[in-house]
Amino acid sequence: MLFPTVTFAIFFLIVLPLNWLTMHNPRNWRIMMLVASYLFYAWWDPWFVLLLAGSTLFNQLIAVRIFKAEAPRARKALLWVGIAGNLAFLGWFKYWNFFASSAQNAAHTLGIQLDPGFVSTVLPIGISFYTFMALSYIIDTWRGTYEPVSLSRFAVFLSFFPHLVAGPIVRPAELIPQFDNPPDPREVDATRGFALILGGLFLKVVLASTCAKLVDPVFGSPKLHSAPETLLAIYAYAVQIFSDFAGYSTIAIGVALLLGFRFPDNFNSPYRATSVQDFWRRWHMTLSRWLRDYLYIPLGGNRGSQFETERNLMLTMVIGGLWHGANWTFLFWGALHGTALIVERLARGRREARGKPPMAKWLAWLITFNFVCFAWIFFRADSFGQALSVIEQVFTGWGVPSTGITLGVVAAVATGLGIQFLPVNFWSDVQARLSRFPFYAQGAAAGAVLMVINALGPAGVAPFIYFQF
Amino acid sequence: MDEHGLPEQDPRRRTMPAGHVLLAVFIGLVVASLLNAQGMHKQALSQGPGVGREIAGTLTAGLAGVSGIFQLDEPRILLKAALGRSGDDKLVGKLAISASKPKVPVATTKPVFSATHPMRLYLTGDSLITDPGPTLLDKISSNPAIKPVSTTDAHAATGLVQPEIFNWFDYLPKQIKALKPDVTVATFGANDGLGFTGVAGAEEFGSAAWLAEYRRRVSGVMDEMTAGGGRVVFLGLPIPRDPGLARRWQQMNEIQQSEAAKRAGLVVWVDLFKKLADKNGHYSDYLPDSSGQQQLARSSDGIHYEPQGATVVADAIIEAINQLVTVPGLGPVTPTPAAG
Repeated sequence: MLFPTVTFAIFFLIVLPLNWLTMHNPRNWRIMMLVASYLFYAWWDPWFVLLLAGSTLFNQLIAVRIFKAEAPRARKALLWVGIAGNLAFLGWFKYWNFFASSAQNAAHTLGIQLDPGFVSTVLPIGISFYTFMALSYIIDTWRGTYEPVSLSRFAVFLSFFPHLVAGPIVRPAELIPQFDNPPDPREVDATRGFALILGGLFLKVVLASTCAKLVDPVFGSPKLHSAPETLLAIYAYAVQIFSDFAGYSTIAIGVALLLGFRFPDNFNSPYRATSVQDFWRRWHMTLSRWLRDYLYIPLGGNRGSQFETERNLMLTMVIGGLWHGANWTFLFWGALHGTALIVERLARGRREARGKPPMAKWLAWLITFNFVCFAWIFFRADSFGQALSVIEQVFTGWGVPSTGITLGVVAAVATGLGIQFLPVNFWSDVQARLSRFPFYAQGAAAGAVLMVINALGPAGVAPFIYFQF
Repeated sequence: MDEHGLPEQDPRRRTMPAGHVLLAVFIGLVVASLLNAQGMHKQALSQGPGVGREIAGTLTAGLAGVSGIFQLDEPRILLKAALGRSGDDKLVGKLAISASKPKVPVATTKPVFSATHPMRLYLTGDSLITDPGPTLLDKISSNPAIKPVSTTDAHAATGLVQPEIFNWFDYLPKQIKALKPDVTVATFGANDGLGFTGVAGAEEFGSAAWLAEYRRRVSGVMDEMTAGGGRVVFLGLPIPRDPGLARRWQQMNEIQQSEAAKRAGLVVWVDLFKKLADKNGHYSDYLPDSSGQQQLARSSDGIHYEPQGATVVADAIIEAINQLVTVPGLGPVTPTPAAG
């Protein structure tokens, strides 16, 4: 079930009252929410629910065993079984074909016949998100920072429909305590919820879909487009992917708020970042935190030698890249960011050693923004050849008519970038003012805004890009 | 931020009781439904036949009626008009198709094109042209004897069965007249494995009446594309992952293929069932490229194309164009080793 659909609106109109009616009885609420979340997920494919339920049972079993085991070796062994199980689960559905084809092709180059076989199945939506959340649960249990909860609590945590298919990646300690301390039904932070849902819909339906109208043809056949079109398409893709993913996260956070639950923020104006490190503190923040806490720091973080720190950075970013999809282009995108982080670190150290002041902010922003957009080319392209064609076209495609540049796309790119530079408290000020209006006025205004969003969006809104991850 | 790092509530923001939240959501959805009634009605009818479509169609028809009486649809109409998209919510009442007899006699000679007289190429159809189209355009981009008359003109989620959603019989003649293509590459059918509703009665998929009506439409669309003397590469439906869908698509392919055969020299039908099958004739996500390396060919839905699949289709189109016309520099394509 997709958020920007009538089906979801009907679903939500049923779940919302049930949520508040059962809230006073946590056990009934958990049953209701589990059924609702599984139904939400089954809308794509009922078989997906079996996988989710299987993952839930497996991880709960491992977490409870880790918690009960006393010998450190046994605990560690169980942890590794849990990690291996989750990675095998994810690997089978998402990476098997990629590694199998890579191995087969490598063998073919060496003149060896290899037939590892391919898996012909649909990639379960959201598998990367909920697998990472399940890993948090067992790793936190092993670390002793979190105690396993009942199966029903864990099942609701993992399947809670607002975050199920594309995050944010929520930690057990952030969400499960909220299940046991139900929010006060007299004080729902609804205005913020409405604003986030409408803002997210605007990002997805209007900005992302409009940008796609230029991005898709340019990346599809780069040689047929002029340099200005190609350049604009590169920036438009930066706006498209932000609007697509931040749009989904924002709707998810808003939906959860109307149900009485708080999620961590996932985006914080990433294109105003003045360094790549800053970018990763603003982009997909829940994934960045996850990679930092469960990968970078366990690898040693920055506690070792300079080489070890750089190795850890690179490994984290490459794995982060691969998390986004089974393709060498994603891996390269991660490596580009890893390289940039290392270069930044070295440059900062050198500058500090020489007592030089930091780079001018506008220049740092310009470099960061253009680097991020450049790296997105590899993220968007289907292959290295396509990425290189796009880059080549920026240099060679001059003097050709630019028929693909429309006012709509330019306005969408300008809006998508412009909203990154609004004052920090702009939206909270707006929400505070709107919250003074009576509920019926807020509802009616939301309805009118929905009409405008629906009318502005081009026909045929593409699926969310991040669903495939 | 609180102790868990979650954003805290802004004390300036007023909260509301859950009951008011429910009412506000309800009011919002009712207002949005009334203001968007025309668009919702069209969306409801774009579903496949069944109880869901019937219920949604009836409900949204009622909403559209109420919205029209009180002129609540005016803001949307004005906004759409300002955006130059007045036709977005339009529903087609009747389906006009040209006579099914070929308008142009069966061609015996192949037109010849050159850099001074380039072949005008037009790519259109449903979402199955979205990936092969740009791949083909990229492959032929350096050939001066070919002039694409537009970017890939794809209309996702459309077909010949539901003209009320997108009427190809209305759209194509205008495009052909305006663009004057020498060769049109088209694909239809991916969204047509449904029963006919509305305009053509309510024949269930696969019935004799359905097959006859579908044949009439395939025949009609081929005639529309050849009406100005242009040639057509008609892409058959590719082998899909789902066996049930495969059976339906094979029935549709047979109709397309036989209608193309009636227009030999004008229309070439491309068998993508065979081209996209593995060496055993089965569906496969991966297919070998020209050097024998396995590459991802189909997308996760088991229907659409990934780059290698788009390349196979683009190569098949080039092969088909060469059967219809003579274009210098559009040489035969190196066949992929194991694909069919």
